[in-house]
Amino acid sequence: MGAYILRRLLTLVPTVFLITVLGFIIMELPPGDYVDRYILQQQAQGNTGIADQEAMLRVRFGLDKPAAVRFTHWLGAFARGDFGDSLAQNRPVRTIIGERLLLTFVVSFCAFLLSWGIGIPLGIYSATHQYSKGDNFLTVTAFLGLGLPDFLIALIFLVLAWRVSGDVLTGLFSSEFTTASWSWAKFQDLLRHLWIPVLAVILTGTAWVMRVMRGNLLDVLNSNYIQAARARGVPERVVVWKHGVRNALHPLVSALGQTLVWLVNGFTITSIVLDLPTIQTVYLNATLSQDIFLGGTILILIGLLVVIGTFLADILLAWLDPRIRFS
Amino acid sequence: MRTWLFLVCGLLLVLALAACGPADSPAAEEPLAEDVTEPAADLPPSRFQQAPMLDAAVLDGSLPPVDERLSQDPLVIEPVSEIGQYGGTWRRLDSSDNLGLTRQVIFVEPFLKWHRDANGMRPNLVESWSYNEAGTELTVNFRQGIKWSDGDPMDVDDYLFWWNDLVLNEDVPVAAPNGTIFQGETMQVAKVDDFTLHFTFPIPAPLFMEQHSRGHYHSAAFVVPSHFLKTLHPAHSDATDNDALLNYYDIGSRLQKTDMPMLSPWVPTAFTSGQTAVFERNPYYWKVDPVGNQLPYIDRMVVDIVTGGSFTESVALNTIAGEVDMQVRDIAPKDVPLLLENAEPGGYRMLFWNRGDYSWPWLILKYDYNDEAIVDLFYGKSFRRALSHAIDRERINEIVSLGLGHARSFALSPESPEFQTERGQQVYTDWSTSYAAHDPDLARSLLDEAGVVDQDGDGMRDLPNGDPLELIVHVSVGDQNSVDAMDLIKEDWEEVGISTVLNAVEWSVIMEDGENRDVMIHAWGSAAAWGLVSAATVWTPVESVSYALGGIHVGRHYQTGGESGVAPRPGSALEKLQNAYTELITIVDPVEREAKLLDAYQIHIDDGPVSIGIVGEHLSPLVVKNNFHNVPEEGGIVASWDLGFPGSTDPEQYYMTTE
Repeated sequence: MGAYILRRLLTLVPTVFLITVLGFIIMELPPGDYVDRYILQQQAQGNTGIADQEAMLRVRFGLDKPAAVRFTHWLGAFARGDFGDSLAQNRPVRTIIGERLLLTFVVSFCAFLLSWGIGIPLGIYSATHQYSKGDNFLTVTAFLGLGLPDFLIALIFLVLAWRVSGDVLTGLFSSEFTTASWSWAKFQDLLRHLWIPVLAVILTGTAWVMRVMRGNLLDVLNSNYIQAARARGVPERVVVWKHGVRNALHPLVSALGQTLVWLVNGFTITSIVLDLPTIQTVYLNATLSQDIFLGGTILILIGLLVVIGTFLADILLAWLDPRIRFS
Repeated sequence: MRTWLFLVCGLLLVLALAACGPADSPAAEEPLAEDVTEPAADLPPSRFQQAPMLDAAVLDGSLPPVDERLSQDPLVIEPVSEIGQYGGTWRRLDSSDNLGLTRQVIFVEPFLKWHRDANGMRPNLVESWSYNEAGTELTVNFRQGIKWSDGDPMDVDDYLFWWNDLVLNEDVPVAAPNGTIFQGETMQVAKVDDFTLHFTFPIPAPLFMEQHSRGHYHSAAFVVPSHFLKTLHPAHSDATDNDALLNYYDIGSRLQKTDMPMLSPWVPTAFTSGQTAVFERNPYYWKVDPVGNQLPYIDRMVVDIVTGGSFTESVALNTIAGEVDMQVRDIAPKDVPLLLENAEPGGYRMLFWNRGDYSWPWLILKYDYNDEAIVDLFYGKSFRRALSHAIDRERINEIVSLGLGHARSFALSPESPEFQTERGQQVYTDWSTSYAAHDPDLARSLLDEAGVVDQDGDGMRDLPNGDPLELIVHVSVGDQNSVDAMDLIKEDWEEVGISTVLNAVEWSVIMEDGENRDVMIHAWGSAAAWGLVSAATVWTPVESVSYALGGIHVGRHYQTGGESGVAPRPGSALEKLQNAYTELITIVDPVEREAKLLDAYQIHIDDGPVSIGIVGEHLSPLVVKNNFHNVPEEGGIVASWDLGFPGSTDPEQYYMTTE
């Protein structure tokens, strides 16, 4: 097991470096740069004098240097934990990501725990009661959840909430609380807003977890060793929970690898339509405005989380399944 | 024109004072006992009145009394309809952390400010100015007694710091803005005394004051708190780089700073990226109403920042929920019926200002396109006229603009000052209606005349040299209005036998293709342009920008004095327009200049259409809560930031009542 982990760790290093290179190249790919975007945006809004400032702006943002030079500088600083300044916001990228990370995690953790916490038991119920009324009901609901995108569900909730209460529950806080420090009232305000994204996301999330769990468990329950266990007279509860569920968890555990990334960058469109102060909205804006340092850092953060997530999932799987660690 | 402006302003002021009666006049010597807002009982009697929210600070001594904060002769702002009352929180939305829309509300404090109907300018930071006869020397007198929001007095050093320590200092990357360099030579600025500057220009610059006063990003941004920025400037402090200095100077982040002194009616007190910005009244704001109440009336502004592309939807939703008190920009025309429907339960009303666009979309024919066969057609009058007559503008107005615009040719906005005379009216009417009639038969015969006929028998017309003709129109994917209109224009053009291809792409692609001379026609959602002062390049190709008439490279040819770019063909309308512009900008006499400007517009009528207008002057909806007052019912022109709206309607005199 130790050798296995070490081997996996060693392959991480070149992967991470490749990710930073790729991340930088991707941010450089679109034609033009941040200054072009900025000037266009200003002109479209009617600021007619801005074009004269083009060369100056490029010097100001360091965009006049060749890409290779900028990459080495940036990577060097990156290694020291300095991610550069956002071009659009004039603030350190670190601060921007830092102030949004917590709220992103609040939303995604709630959604993750609930969808898995609800999805797994329901999946087990569905599988063990195949084609019963309960299973049919859950199946229909799950297809609705999978079929309707979460941002649409969020919009429906938003409008319903407005019809009932008269409040527009976009964002995570009412404006009087955004700048306030934490208090019981602010927490309540958060809860008042939080349910819309969480509920919308868990409707889709639960449906997916439930369907995967149901399918796997059904496969497992039809396999020979389960039949053998039943034939030995092992109680059904033990058959399902000890021999069935444990072996049906594999696909979900491999999916955990992507969950780490999803926690930071899932439900992007929902974030945007609800205007949540999360990483996703910043990432989209940074990409649109070619704010390369901010966008690049988030892209690399996402890449790193994929690598780490996969690494952790592999270890979990190896622990769960001896066939992997000895192969 | 300047004297005339002055007279009008003076007259307005006298009228305002007279209307209020002697007892209410701020010039009255005795303290005013019966005033709109009663000062708190234990405040000493004062000549001016302040908002109750400042009383506590004055009483405990942390803020000087209002009379000491204001000059003896502050700028008097005549309210739009009535004297207001203090208090209230104004809730608005903005679409980015840069708070551009908010800057257009509170940051429009330039040398001169546009009149509320955009017809000329009035004194603001600058009280008076005078030119020498040749128009090459200018003396500017700043208003005295203005203070920054930290109480520090404002004087000409605050402008000179920008010019000498930021622009002229080679180590600080701040460029000289347009309007300060003349044929490659920068202007000279000298200090006469604390409130007087002397400008010297290499050539006559009669429009300097107007051009230096556009939007919130010219003189409004150039007069900076030097006492504050000096502490960040490497030459004046122990700062080692320009980062902090530029971070504070950059107008994109200025409203994010809660510690930088400002001259605006409200100053930032809190900012959370992507969420909220809060502004509170500037206790040193240097304007009063006619009865001596220090402005602004409204205590506070809370701006909800909505990023990520759902801004117009958020504006609509928050509006119908009654959570917006007054919002000027980014209300989509398609949302108007929904907003009107919910006006009563939402407790708001809708006003319609003018977008001021000359055409949306505006079809810019690119005379710098890389295929000479196409450019030959563009330079021929018949082909352009055929394109224009083929278009059913009324249909586009009804279907795409919901009837909220006017079918017209490309012509500047009717509100432009030069159109206000009788001759101006005539030129405007001729220009805006020229070649705009929908007449497919005429279009067909004009095309025959231009030699554009079907040669290969496929039912579509071909180029005179026999090659198939295909018009390619670049349109920005984000501009749905233009995309929709282009679909109908394509139908109209194909109806007369011209095959048309829409190329809906990202902005950056249009820019890139334009640089490479790969754009044949660009359908652009135009802003407003104002004669010689704002975006003249839309009617005469003099700048190398994407919206230059005739194409980027034709503008570049003029801007670089012929060093690069594509020259307009000799004798063409483009060349005549460039020559007219060269002459116009140095004419010192305003009457002569205006007459010559109308002569230049006449080129568009006689040799036109040089570019093709479709539907313009769209109404621009705004929402105003029923308890929100003193917003002009009409007259605002919002598409071009140069005109400074809504700041030009003096938001400091808006006021709110409790419902």
